[in-house]
Amino acid sequence: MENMNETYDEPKYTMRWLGIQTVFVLVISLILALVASGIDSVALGRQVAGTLHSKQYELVSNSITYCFAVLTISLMSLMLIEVAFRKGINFLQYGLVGCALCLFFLLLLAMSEKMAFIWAYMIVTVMTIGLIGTFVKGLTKNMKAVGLSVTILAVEYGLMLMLVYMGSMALLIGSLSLFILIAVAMYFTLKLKVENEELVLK
Amino acid sequence: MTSDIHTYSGSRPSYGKKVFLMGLICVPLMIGVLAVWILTFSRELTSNSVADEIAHKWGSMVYITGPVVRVDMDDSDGESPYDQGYHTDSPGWMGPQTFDCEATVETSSLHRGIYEAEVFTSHVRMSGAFSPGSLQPLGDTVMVKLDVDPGCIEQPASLTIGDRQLEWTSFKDYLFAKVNVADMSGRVEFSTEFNVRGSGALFIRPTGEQSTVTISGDASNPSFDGKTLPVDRQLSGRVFSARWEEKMPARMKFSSRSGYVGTSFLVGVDRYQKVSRSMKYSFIIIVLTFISVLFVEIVKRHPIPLLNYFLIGAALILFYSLLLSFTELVPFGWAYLVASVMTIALIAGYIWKILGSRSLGMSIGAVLAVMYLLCFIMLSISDGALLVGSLLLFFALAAMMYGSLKINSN
Repeated sequence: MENMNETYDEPKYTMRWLGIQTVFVLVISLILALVASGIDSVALGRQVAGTLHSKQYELVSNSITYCFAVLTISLMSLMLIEVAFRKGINFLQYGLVGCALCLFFLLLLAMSEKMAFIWAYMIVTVMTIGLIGTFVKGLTKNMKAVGLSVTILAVEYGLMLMLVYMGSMALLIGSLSLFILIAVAMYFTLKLKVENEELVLK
Repeated sequence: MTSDIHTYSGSRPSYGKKVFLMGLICVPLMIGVLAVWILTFSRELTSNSVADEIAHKWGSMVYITGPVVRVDMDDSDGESPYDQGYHTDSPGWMGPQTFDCEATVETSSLHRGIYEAEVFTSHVRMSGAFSPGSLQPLGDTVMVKLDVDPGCIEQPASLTIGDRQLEWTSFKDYLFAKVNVADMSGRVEFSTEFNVRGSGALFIRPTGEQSTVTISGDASNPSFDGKTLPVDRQLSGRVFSARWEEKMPARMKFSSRSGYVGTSFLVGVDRYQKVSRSMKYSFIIIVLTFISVLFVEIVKRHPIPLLNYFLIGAALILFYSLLLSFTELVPFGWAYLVASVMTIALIAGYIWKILGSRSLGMSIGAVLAVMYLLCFIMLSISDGALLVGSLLLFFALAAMMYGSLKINSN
């Protein structure tokens, strides 16, 4: 992957870049998680007004719990794509992807007022993954990158749906999937090598 | 972090900045620990409320007042002749001369999903005697009252008094029996036994001039409670027994909820307390792990980026989340074993792959295993945990000093 077209005057993907980017991703995830909790209170309002069934509200509210994790993991995977495929993605584009992930919950709320939760969830998931996949294709022009991001998103949303329906067992499944996530992250840091001050994924 | 040790052979890079940054990493990690602690707390609240709900369907706390005889039948102003007894603070009850009560408690668990409640069945045997000539002046027929919620009694109990056997009659929240005492002179012995079911606590109010109350059985976390402390108590694990001896005047005033002695038990499960207690040691485990990895890094002269430290720290925090979720399904010891083996395997494997040295990965794994084992021992011993803990810290410090000597000599 090193011999791909773009070259830089000075190393871009340094350890310093990784640190700054991580902090940025965490901050933007936190802000958007606050927005999502706003969506939660909107949902509560709709439930009180009677347009949203209380069972549906519980499911929507449960899924909003996982908002921060979904945002962080998705944006981190975008960083991974950036390093692996050597395509610059700027802060604005990260922000837009984050907004799409956050909009998922608003769409979910709106859709579940009209139909069964499971159908609403599926339609909104397909919409969001389609949007982000197309965006990543436009950014990287690389089908492998699109495949990677779509797979990660699909796994996340699948897991989230499972956790929402699990009830008291959600903690176990959640902890085990976090364990796997840390193992995967460790695997990628092993692949991450520093060559001439530049991070390279091998 | 990309140190230039390869270019300056022989000189050592400064680790001061790195140690400072590692300290900074500990801040978000401890926020993570706090999050898991809050999660534990909220799971405990949910679990306790569900346990209370399950237990209340079985029976709630049991309060029993020993048998008393009504003295002033004429003063009754209630609609029922026995109604005055309901207000137990009114005077006019006479207790027996001697009163012995033996209660054996047997506990069982009720489950609903992952939630669990401990309830008990208790066999209560009461015996004693009224002093000679104390019953006859009260009239031909006296009322003997036993204050216990009839709802918690498993099968109808009978009363043997003198040479007569009578059935208790339930009324509101007590049992009573009318006894013809015209021909009872001398000591009047009585005895009764019954089974009660309940949860949370078993309290008995002795009513005799000389009373002995014995409660024994097995339960989780029994604690002896009440007006006075037991004169004799034994407690080993779940098995307990306690004996109270009380003296009081024959004619007494009952204030509504005092004078009871007994044992209270834990209705919910204590696994959440164990998880939150184990989290007290999280900071020291993270710090000691970081220090051991830093030693390895310095000795091997193989720079390990801070990102890797962060992931190791995250794995150490995830241990508590895993422990919490496993302990809801299996006993605490097994949950601890599985969670610690998973965490140790992950971190040891990671160090092995980072440094490409199997023995170093193994030794970090061994250090972690010792730490988790010591943490488990500290959780199991209730007394002297502070002493053991400070001694362990002393030895950890000694080991670190020894390690730093190695670094200087390199």
